[in-house]
Amino acid sequence: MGKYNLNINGKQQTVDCDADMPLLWILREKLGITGTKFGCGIAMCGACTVHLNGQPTRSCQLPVFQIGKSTITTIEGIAPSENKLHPVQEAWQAHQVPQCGYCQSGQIMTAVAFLKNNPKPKMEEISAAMSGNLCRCGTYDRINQAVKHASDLLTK
Amino acid sequence: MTSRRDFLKAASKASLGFCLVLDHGKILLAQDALGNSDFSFNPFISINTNGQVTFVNPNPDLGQGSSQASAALIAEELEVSLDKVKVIFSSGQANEGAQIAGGSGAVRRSWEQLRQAGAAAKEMFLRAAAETWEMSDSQCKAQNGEVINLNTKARLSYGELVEKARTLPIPEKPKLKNKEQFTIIGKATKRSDVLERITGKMQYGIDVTVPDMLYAAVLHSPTIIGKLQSYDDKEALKVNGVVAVVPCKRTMPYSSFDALAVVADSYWSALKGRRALKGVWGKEGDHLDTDIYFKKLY
Repeated sequence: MGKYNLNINGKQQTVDCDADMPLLWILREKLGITGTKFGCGIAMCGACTVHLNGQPTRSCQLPVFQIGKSTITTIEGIAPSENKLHPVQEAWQAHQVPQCGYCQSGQIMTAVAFLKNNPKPKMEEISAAMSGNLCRCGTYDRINQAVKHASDLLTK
Repeated sequence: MTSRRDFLKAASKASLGFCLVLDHGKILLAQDALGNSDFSFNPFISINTNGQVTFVNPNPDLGQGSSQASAALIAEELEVSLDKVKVIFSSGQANEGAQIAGGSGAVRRSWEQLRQAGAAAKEMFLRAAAETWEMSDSQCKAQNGEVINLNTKARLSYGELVEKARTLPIPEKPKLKNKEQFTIIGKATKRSDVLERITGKMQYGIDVTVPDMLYAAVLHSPTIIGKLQSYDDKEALKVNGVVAVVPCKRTMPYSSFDALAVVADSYWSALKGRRALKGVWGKEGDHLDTDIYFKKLY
């Protein structure tokens, strides 16, 4: 066990845990930040995607000792304020994307990071960028439409 | 645990307004259903003195949207907007009757009965208003949670009419709308649960906790029917938080298979313990082996 200082959604948090504890479980079980989901546990499905210094990262495979001073952003940390959604979430709402919604935190985190690097993507680029996040409900088409819509919202 | 009798008593108290129960396709008032020993009190619909409609839904819905479709059946015939129908799920207790999702049946099975319940309640509100104004039902119109007096344009909300309406007889054959009159059924409606599903606030099974909760991660045979021959839990039990390793069964219809559960005080500890657990499995069914399958993936 050891003490780790983590910067999560702009807030400094101290956790006491094993060095190999993955960020996913620190968020969910040590800090009660449960919007990030456990899917496969082997970095294949993308349900646990968060941002590490703005880059999409599979938190189920990120042990706490590797995090250091990197800043962590989760689905709870992307909206500009309590009452306002991130433009990607707005697009998700407009397109009524989720069915069960279990994978959608990860989908949204991947989309937010992608649009920062590629603000005006073509549909094929969206499809490719989102292809690593699995959705058992099969909402892929709505996801792609919503990313396109979010790109318009962010660049207007 | 609340018995259904206590529950119904509570549900039919004045504070809840009135409460319609669907018992084997027959519509009953909750207080009348009390005397009937074999009825199950699901689904039921209550309307309180604020005009809030609550539908206790016996069909689990993990996002397919059937609960919203069911609410639409009620709202359509009751003449309230869809957002006025709050859906809560039944608790899973045996006395709440069949509570299932499957076969795309949730809407098909309730298509008639929920509409009839909505229509019956609407007719009772119309009757209650007509009696209040001392006129015939045909001079009144139900619209958006209110009854309108067509002569004077006066209005009475369902909430105001609840007390009177619940004392009236339930219509035997409430008149249903025809397709051309639908304003909600068959129209695209926004889902009410999208916001919580895109902000991480939706609570899933994995997010539920209870006091002193333990978590189990189950180790299965790498082949579909492999029998457990022996296991070594020495390393698993050393993992922080692991409480026990318990042989168990994976039960399937008509068969059950050996498995090992690692029980711990957190899900992560259980998963980590499972990784440290060694099971020795028989070769039964080894034409399909997940260990080999995963090795091929990487």
